Amino acid sequence: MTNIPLVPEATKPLPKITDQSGLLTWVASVDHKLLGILYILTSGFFMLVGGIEALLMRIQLGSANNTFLSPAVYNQLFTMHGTTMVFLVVMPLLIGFGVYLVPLMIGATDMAFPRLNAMSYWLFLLGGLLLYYSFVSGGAPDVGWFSYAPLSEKPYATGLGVDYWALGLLVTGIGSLAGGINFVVTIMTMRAPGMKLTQMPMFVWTTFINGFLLILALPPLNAALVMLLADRQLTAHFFRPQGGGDSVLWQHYFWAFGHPEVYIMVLPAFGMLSEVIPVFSRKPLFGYSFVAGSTVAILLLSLLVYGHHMLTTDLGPVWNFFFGAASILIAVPTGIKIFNWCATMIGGKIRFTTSMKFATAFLLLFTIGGITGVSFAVVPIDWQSNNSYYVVAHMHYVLFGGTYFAVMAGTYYWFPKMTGRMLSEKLGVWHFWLTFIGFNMTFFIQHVLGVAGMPRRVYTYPKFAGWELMNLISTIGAFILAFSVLVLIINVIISLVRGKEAGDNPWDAWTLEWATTSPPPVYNFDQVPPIRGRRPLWDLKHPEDPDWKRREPDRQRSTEE
Amino acid sequence: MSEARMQPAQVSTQPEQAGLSARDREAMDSKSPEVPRLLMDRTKLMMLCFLGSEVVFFGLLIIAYIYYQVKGIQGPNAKEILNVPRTFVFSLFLFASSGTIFIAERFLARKNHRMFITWMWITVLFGAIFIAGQVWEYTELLSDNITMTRNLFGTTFFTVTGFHGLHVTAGLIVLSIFTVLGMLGDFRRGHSSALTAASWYWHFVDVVWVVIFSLIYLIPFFSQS
Amino acid sequence: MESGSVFDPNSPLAKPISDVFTIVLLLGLGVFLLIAGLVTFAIIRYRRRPGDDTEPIQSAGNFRLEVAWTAGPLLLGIGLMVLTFTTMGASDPAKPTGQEVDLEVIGHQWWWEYRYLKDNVVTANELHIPVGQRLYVRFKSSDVIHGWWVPQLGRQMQINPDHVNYTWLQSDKAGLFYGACTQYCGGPHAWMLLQVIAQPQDQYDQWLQQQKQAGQSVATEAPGDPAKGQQVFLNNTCVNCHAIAGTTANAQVGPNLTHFGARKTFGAGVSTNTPENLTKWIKNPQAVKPGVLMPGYQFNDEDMRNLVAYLESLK
Ligand code: HEA
Ligand code: HEA
Ligand code: HEC
Ligand code: CUA
Ligand SMILES: [Cu+2]
Repeated sequence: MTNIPLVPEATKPLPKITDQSGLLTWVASVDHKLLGILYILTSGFFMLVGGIEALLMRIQLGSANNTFLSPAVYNQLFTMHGTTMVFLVVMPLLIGFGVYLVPLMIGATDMAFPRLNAMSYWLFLLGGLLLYYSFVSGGAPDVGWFSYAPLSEKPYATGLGVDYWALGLLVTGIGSLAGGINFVVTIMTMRAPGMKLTQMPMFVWTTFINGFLLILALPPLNAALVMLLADRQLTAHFFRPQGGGDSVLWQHYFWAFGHPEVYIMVLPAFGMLSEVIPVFSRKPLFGYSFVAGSTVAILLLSLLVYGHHMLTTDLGPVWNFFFGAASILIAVPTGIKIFNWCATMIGGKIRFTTSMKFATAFLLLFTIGGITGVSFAVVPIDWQSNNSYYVVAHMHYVLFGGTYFAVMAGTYYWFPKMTGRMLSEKLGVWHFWLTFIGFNMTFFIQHVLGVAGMPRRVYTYPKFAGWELMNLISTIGAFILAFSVLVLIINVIISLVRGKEAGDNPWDAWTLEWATTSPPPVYNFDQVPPIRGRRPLWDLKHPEDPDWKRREPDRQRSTEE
Repeated sequence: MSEARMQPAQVSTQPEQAGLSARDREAMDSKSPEVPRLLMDRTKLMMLCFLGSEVVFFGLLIIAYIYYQVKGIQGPNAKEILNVPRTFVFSLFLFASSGTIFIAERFLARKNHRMFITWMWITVLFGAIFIAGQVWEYTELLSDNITMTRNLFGTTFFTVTGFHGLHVTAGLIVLSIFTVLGMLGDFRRGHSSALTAASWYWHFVDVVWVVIFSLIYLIPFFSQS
Repeated sequence: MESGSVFDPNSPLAKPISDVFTIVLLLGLGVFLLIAGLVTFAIIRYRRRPGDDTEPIQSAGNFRLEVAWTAGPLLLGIGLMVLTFTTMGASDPAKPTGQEVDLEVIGHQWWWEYRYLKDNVVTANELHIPVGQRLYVRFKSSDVIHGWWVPQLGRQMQINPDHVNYTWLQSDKAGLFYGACTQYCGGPHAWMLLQVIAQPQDQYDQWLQQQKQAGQSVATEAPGDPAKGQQVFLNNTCVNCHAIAGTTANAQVGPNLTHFGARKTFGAGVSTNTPENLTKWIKNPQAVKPGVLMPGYQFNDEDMRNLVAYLESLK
């Protein structure tokens, strides 16, 4: 093996993987940078697993009446795909970026509780392994990622799959909860001297809010899981109609977690975008306080709208309307963000690096996903699209077109910081376009499938339904996507070995993480530059025109003078 | 180049070890508006966040209990089977332990190490008595065939009180460790945010029991038929 | 024949949803075009020109703009709320207490049971309704949660084992409308399809009349002796699960077979109802619909022929 400079030590490159003590460094470390990278690599691995599950499903759906997979296998696959992507890919990926970047961005040496941080990571890994152990133990869970009772109860799900599912999620859940607490405490107490809350990079803001969301949203999941486990293992009756229990209670508890969860999966991505777009547009983030404030608004609103996943449960017209209206309101703070990002680009001198390409695509794709989201919130529309492929299209537009594209933007942006080497822009062009085309090909057509009546979670469909061609297109798209992921992997490997040296600040960016070496030393900073505004490195470079000399930056005249 | 002043970064290898790092103290003392003032130290803040999530967790378990009570329970219910006076007596010990840990903290603040240790042990003892009461109650219920499986009262009752009991037990373990550490010479400085955090946790567990006890024991006990 | 689309409504209950869906998608298109326009404008106009290494004007915000793009979406949102409110009423009108139930739909793992409560008729999977009449429907489940959806006729309804839900069902035109179970209910949830056959009143009445009688043997092209087939049916465990009016078979575990021969499909859409398909089904239902809760039977050829002839003759 060649020396891969992955370990964020000042000068020394990463000890070889084969080197015993090197391995031990990774396992025993409490350094936030190591843990961040571990988070990212592990969730990347699970992304491959979840992606392969998706590919198998797409093969099965490629033609009508297909027998490539039996329903038993297919049902396990979509359950594991959804669970993996949500709990083992997106959440830990975003937490991982947070763990790596937040201390650097606020000029701290580490998280507030490094050991707790390590525990969170290992709980995440343990939970993931528990979940996947179910495959070996006689069958993975096959009840969907939201495990509606009573299908998830013993009489209907007899194997141990659901038990592993619940245990695995409990374990990762506790890890994420600890992670959330760690973020909140770190950001409140570890900022470099001089950095006010209103001067934190936007990624720190969104991670901060995300911390609160984790603290508030995971307990409902934990409570629901504990109750489900009691039902399954101790024959309790919480969600079992046979014993007087109420299956709809599960829906309430799960979605009281499940909806905030979707914002847990997107807020840090918003933060990444708010770092990437300004730097490549060469302008500060437009409307900083509005972007931050709208994040807080999303936090509050997200706790009130979970019922929009239950609009066909028939909670009654009053509740239906309440949840619908609250969901529509969420479009407002989200819209504020989108408009501010557009305004950041306008008037700039935009450098369309791969990172910026992904960020720009995000704006378009996430808007599409958001609009279909708002369409559900118009309650009767949900009555005509609930549990159809229209929902599948929505969630991939926000999760893939949104979060994944933002994470890719972030990956091209911070990879140089994490490894000391640049990702290849040439391969990046291929990666971007393959992802963009593959993604839209896979998922746009699913909107049409949904309104044409195709329900989700079907292992096959009859020929007469007329869904075959559209499904085939979607399947081909998925393979293009898979190919794009391969390009990314190749890019990462090649760049690690012989990528261009990055230097401290290859993008000429302005936040503190760029004020140290790439990769940063164990203790992060030799010196923290003075912080008098939101862009310390800009101020350092432009002493004639520092941010803090311009009063009230949010009230500046617009660029169209 | 700019001649902007560079500040040395804080290099603390084990930031979580002491309750307050040097930088924390600096920040707390600072009068300068440039340096953010800390509301409190990390350990306490962490405990606050944790308790926030615990409120939601217990809240939801309790809501499940209320929900099924309102919906109507088939079979034995709180009023017929719970021994309220006895549990009340045991509850008094838990309530009292909130007071005793407060006293312990006051002695700690006054650097009366001996009394601090004594009152910590009293706290642990009271907590243990409460748990013993719960064990007694559980054995009796189980021998009357009141179980998780029996009906929804059993299901919700054991879940709510069981998780509370687990929390008390966890608290007991932590408090015992702290007390032993104290006997070995820790906590001489007269202030420990870890201990404060633990006492907050203990008060929280106590408050949860006030809610549970009122809801599950008192209300049925005093309600007509 | 294609499964119907949400945008091809055939019911005064589905029409308002189709309309509001169209409006919302058009508004959404407007929003998307606005954003896409801004982005395209930025891409074209504010792309860094080669060789230009200067920094642009560092503008960081504009209060009026912020107000504008807070107020705009807010107004749009309030408009959407009004639409929501009105369409909810139109597509799922209020349900008066004491309204008499016309039809009960019971979801089973993985088939549909229909009970015409006023006429004492029970059938499965293929639902007949009279054109133009608004039926009041009650939904129940015998096991897990299912979901009712016929896109051309109106809203979905979740079917819970422990909550009874109600809604209306109406079709404007005669025709065949496909639907499906939308709530994942385990195993072959994919094969929990359904058909609604809307018929003009006279044809419907005729159908109902026939359903009220016990299954009569009507000659079919299926080879075999229906009378002997009936004995095969009654002498086997079929009777533990199925009911056929006029015989001793009255179990309710599986679909009611009283008028099985009159159905065009069976197995909730998995097969067309032909003697060959039925033979395959009885031999090995698992091969036709993996996961199904019916065992297979190894009858000799003659018994099988007779049994199939019997079932197909039940019109
Ligand atoms: C990253 C994750 C993510 C995000 C951000 C969102 C965002 C939103 N989601 Fe989505 N959602 C999911 C992930 C996500 N969702 C998932 C995974 C499911 C499926 C779960 C399952 O069943 O398995 C789901 C399902 C789902 C449903 C249930 C559908 C059903 O099962 O029947 C609903 C219903 O209301 C909904 C609504 C919304 C709304 C209103 C938003 C809003 O936040 C969107 C706001 C954004 C915009 C609107 C775009 C930008 C705004 C402007 C440009 C301003 C102007 C615009 C207008 C005024 C319209 N979502
Ligand atoms: C962030 C979340 C996320 C992501 C990224 C994805 C990614 C993908 N998903 Fe999705 N999906 C969900 C979250 C996500 N999904 C959720 C929550 C559900 C609901 C589950 C439920 O109903 O319970 C769902 C459900 C879902 C369905 C509906 C299943 C059903 O209802 O029956 C489908 C069907 O097409 C699908 C497809 C895909 C595809 C093709 C991708 C692709 O984008 C994947 C692309 C990635 C790869 C293809 C990996 C690359 C692999 C290689 C390069 C292989 C080579 C490598 C080695 C051999 C080492 N997903
Ligand atoms: C263990 C119960 C059970 C037994 C025994 C059983 N069935 Fe069934 N049968 C079912 C169930 C359940 C279905 C519905 C399957 C589905 O569509 O998911 C069914 C469906 C059918 C159907 C299709 C009905 C329709 O309209 O979709 C036919 C025909 C049928 N059974 C015939 C038979 C015959 C003939 C026998 C005996 C030789 C038999 N069944 C024995 C449970 C049983
Ligand atoms: Cu019934 Cu899906
Ligand atoms: Cu939601």
